[in-house]
Amino acid sequence: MTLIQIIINGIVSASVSALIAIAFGLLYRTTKIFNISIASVYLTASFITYLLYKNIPILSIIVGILATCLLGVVIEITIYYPLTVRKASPATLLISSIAVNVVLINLLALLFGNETKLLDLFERNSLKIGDLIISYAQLIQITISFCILTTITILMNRNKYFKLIRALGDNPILLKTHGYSVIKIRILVTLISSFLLATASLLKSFDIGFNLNAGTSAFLAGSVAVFLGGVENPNGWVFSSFIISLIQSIVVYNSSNQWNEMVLFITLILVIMLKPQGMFSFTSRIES
Amino acid sequence: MISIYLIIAYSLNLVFGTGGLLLLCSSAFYGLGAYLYAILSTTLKLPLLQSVTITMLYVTVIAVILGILAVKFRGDGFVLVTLGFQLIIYTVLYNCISWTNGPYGIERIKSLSINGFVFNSVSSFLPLVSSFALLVFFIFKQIDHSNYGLVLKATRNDFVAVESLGIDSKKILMISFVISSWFLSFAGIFYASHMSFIDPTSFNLDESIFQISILLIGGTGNLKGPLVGTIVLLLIPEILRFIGLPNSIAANLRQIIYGFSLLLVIFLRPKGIVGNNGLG
Repeated sequence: MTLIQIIINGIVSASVSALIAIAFGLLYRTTKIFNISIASVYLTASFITYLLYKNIPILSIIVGILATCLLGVVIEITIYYPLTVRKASPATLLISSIAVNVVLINLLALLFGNETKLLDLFERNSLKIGDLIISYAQLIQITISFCILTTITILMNRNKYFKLIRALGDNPILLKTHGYSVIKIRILVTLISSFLLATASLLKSFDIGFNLNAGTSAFLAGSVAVFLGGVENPNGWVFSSFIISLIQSIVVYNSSNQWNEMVLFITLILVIMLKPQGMFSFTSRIES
Repeated sequence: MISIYLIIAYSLNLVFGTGGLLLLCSSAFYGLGAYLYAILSTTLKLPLLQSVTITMLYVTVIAVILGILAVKFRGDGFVLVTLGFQLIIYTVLYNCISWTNGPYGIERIKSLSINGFVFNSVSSFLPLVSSFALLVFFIFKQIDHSNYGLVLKATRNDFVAVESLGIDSKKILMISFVISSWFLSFAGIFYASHMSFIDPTSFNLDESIFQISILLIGGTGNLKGPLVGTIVLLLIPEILRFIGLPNSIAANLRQIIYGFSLLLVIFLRPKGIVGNNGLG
């Protein structure tokens, strides 16, 4: 495998990780919940699509995404929002997300089993350019991810609702005094995050299949990218996803896939030792 | 097992209940204790005292290094660093096959022995581990009532006020982190010597979440909570076994019950069944 092939694999993997990072980052910045339950929400899309794709191939994707969005919103309305209203501490919110995740993951295990599943939605083929091999699944991943990433980046800077989401993260009380409904904006951010998670999940599952551990790996990749990039910097989330994925591709090529998560966390620990506010966050003096 | 889990619960109570730091790597220290003891006593055939001493030395060094990194943060950053450590240790246990035998685990681990008396039966092991659990209870009771315990509680409640009195709150938290890691590793040593077989699946993230659930359900910040939590959570599998559910369903069902219990506790009794400290 050439260096260019490793870089391409890294970029493909990063494009999907960046979607997860944005999903986690938007939720984390807005709701202040270190939301571990995104792991099971992520998995739900693949499992629902897997259940239906043999009978209704294209429709199963839509149903999978819609079901994931619905699940995200139901969790928000029944658990996280009521706890936030009761002024629950960050630790309580984190523990409630762990509890939700434990329940959902084990429900999925009971319903679908533990083994790895393949999602053969499209024909499996690949493109050969010289020594380079790019599968159709990778092409689909990179095309859809880049379209969504570009749209989200534009919307974050220009769209009124994305600005409201940002405002909710900054100061929910002030937002309320301006007459905006906090719960509506929270539902909106949950919908956007669930959509991103569902898309990322389907793209990844179509390429390499999925099992119950895939959700945790996705959560870890997303959360580490957000902390590395700096919680306040959405562009940093995307950049750090790319850096992490490239490092992981190089390590996987030189050793094995088993060390993937270890590389992820060693990178995290090294960065937070040197720059606790994240790689791409620059604190400036208040008077400047 | 209740005695082993009591040691774990009291150790976690110091960091989480008294110190207010949510630790997600308890099973990593538990696993480190078990694996280091197994490798030293069984693979390298060292005597008991040396095995335990070297295990504790290793654990101390690792806990100090991790503690220095982790206590820089409070809240989510601390959780993420300890979560990362948990996954690193699990990956090492699973993949360093030459030392840990990977997924196949280590078998025929030496039982604990004192002056030639081997604790290899339930009737001999139970008094040993129960006495140790009792000793741990008294140690933590002393810590709870000591000046150090009070400073640790103050750090949890308002670390800025503690720092303003000239006390290094990071150092205080570091000490609690290292003490907890010692006892978690001791629990691991007891587990390895009692089961005589260990594999990495006993020391994964799910196990860490289970261990912290014991405290959350029982309640934190006092010495009754860990006891109640341990008894309640260790009895659930026995009840499921009594109902006669197949093992494949029972494992997942047990986890679902833990999850729902946690949610119920958070909504109905945020302090846990007999806890002092509210979570929210």
